[in-house]
Amino acid sequence: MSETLELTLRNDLAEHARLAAALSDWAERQGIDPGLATTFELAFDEILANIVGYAYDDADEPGVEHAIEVACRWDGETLSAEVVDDGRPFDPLSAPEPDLEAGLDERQVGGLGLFLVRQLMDEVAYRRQDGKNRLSFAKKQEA
Amino acid sequence: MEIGQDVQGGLTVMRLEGKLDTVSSPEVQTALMAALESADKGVVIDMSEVAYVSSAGLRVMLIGGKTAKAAGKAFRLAGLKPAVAEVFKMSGFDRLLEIHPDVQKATA
Repeated sequence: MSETLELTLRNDLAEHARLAAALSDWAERQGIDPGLATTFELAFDEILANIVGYAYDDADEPGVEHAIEVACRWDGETLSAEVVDDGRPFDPLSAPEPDLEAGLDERQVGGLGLFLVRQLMDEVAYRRQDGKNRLSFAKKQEA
Repeated sequence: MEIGQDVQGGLTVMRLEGKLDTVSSPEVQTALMAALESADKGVVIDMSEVAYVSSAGLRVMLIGGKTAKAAGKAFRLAGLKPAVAEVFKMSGFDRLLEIHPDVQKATA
């Protein structure tokens, strides 16, 4: 028996707040550890920022909107999520890792978001299917 | 994001309350740059009420560290929650920035 939260977002950063509120309410009802829910809220921030910032060639055209589908699933032990967008093909797992050894002067400001998602989650998987990017990730709740 | 600040012994202490994410980071960056500009000795950021920090927030902290270094001023973070400290560690930022257990130690 698993419980699901499904939400369709517009390609707008402001939508993260709506997702965060829905996730927090849903997680509380499911008895999910708030810390685990917060980790997912952080991951959604990174993923949505990436999609809204880079996925669409027509993002600046007036009246153009894209739907981003988000689903979360809880099976009592593991929280998993999938984010589906119709932007240009992009495999976050292929992105180069940031240079963690660089000093303050050399350290670059980009490239950290998806790295953090990979570090924070137990599993991250990507596939391109039917013209859409499907990124799924999961983390087990600590006992 | 709620941003408050006061001055303690030449250091400006900025208190952040909320989520340091993609949406809130620009206003925090603006406030931090102004505080670094006006502070005598530097800026301490009280992170004890920050629920989480995403890469957009890390970016602001990195800019703060670089700006302070160029100006010869201090830039210190204090009171990171365990989950926030973990993100700083994962990203290597715990080695780039000066992090203290609490504001009292950061201003001592």
